[in-house]
Amino acid sequence: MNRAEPHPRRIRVRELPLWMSLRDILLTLVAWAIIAYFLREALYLVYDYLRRPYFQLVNAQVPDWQGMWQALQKFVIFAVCLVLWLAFWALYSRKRLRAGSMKPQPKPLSLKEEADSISLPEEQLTRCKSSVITTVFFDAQQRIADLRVSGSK
Amino acid sequence: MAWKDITAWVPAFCFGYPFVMAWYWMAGGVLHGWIRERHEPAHVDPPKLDSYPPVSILVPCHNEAEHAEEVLTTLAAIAYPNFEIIAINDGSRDNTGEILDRLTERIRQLRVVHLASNQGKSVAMNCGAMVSRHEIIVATDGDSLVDRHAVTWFVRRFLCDGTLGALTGNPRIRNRSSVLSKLQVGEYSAIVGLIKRAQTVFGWVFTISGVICAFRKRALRDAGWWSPKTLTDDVQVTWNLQLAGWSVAYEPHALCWILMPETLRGLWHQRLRWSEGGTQTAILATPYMLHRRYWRCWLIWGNYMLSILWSYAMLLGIALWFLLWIPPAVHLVHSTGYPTFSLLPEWWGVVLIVTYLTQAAISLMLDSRYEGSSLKVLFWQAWYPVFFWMLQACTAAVGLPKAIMRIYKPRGTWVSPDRGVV
Repeated sequence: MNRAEPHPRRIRVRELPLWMSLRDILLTLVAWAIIAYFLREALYLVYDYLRRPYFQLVNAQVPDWQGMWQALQKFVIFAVCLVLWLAFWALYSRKRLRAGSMKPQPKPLSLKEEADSISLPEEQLTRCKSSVITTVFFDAQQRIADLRVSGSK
Repeated sequence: MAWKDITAWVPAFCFGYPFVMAWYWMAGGVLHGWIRERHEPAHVDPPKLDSYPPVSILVPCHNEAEHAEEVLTTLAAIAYPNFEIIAINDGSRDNTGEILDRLTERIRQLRVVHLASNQGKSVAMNCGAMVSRHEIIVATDGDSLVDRHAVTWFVRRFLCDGTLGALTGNPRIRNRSSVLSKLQVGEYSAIVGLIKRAQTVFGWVFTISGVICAFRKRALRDAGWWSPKTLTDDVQVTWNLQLAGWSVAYEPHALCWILMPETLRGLWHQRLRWSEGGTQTAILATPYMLHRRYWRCWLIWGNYMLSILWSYAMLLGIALWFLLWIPPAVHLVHSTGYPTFSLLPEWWGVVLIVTYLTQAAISLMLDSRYEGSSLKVLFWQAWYPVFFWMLQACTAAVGLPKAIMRIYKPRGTWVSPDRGVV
């Protein structure tokens, strides 16, 4: 195997008309502007806190932290509980998740087991597995009616 | 509970459900990244295996004349020493069959199955599995390019965990012409990737990605193979495998380059099919919720049902908000007492948007291991919170009644999806 050979990643970009590309960019900038507008007070608060005099609010109003916490409290607590629950499972199953060494494998499905599970004679299944081209025909009930095989590899 | 109490709960639910779940997915992604991915080598340099068991790669094709040759030639060049490719021509109306037959002369690993009439992906997969010779089966689609090392990563994971019945890979979008496809690149990381990571940590996966996945044949037998009655074969087989006692996990190193819809119409049809299929599977799995041994499944099932409920609650609220613009309907809206939701973000909308953007940034950072430029996609994600959430809500709302009706239909066939313009 040649590990250095690049994988067949092919991201193709269609030749879009310029106006469509500009439209997409413009609309996305508008969306960001709307987000920024609704975040304007929070953004100004951060700006005011970080400018001189550093780490002090000069013009911005101190937000109603208490009111915000009241509004979000139950959702935050619920989210934290779920995150802790997931962290517990991550801790519990970390060996399985991290597994990097070979483990005993289940027995492969035998031809007989496979043939039984799909209600097909073993000989017919063997023929299908050794052919290059198989054609499957179905009956009116959409069950396999006939199998035709050709060639072998 | 009085109507007044119910309407008081609706806004809390509409905000709380996506808010809480977003933090849950983020935590799951970070935990998976920390425990599983941090120590792993780059995806282009998989560790050397003690053995390379033979693998059968199934490629179902329906009207894939345009892509078949490229897909199969790429597959034939993967960096794995021992494999066969089985292309299943599911009653194509174009010349896919002739192309596949011709390729058997050029690609020595290739074998072909022709279904005399179109039977749907599940039957195609079952026929492919039937003729396959090997215990490990990798499945991909007829228009997707599997990464050179994806099979090695899958096999390694199976060899390291004998309880694994199936693995789901990491689909990456390769057509990125329009803003729709760029949004989906972010979505595959921020939503699909994070959810799969969190579900793997928890130990129950809602669905594998049918476009790149791998199975043990014994596990498939225990799960009853692919069910022809379902619309989304991948969701159904994932649930059946886990209900049969096998585990399913996410392997982010197993990459596959896929085509996604680039038109609204194509996207709508795709998402509606996913929603319908997911809902159908969730409904069919309902009887298992009564068994205590399936408690993990209950949590995933409950989350899915909550997401449908959320969709209806949001859509009803937005529909009533629109009615407020029609003066005669104002009284009607107020008399329902049901809260309305503006399409413009209020404070809770802004909190959700910031939460989503945080989620997108975290997931794109996790995925930058596999695709270096993925952080650039963050620019396009400004649309996602409004556009895609509305799309998901609409498809979920339409998908539920369709799924209920479909349970009584015998079998679904397929049509070629929109793959963008490439």
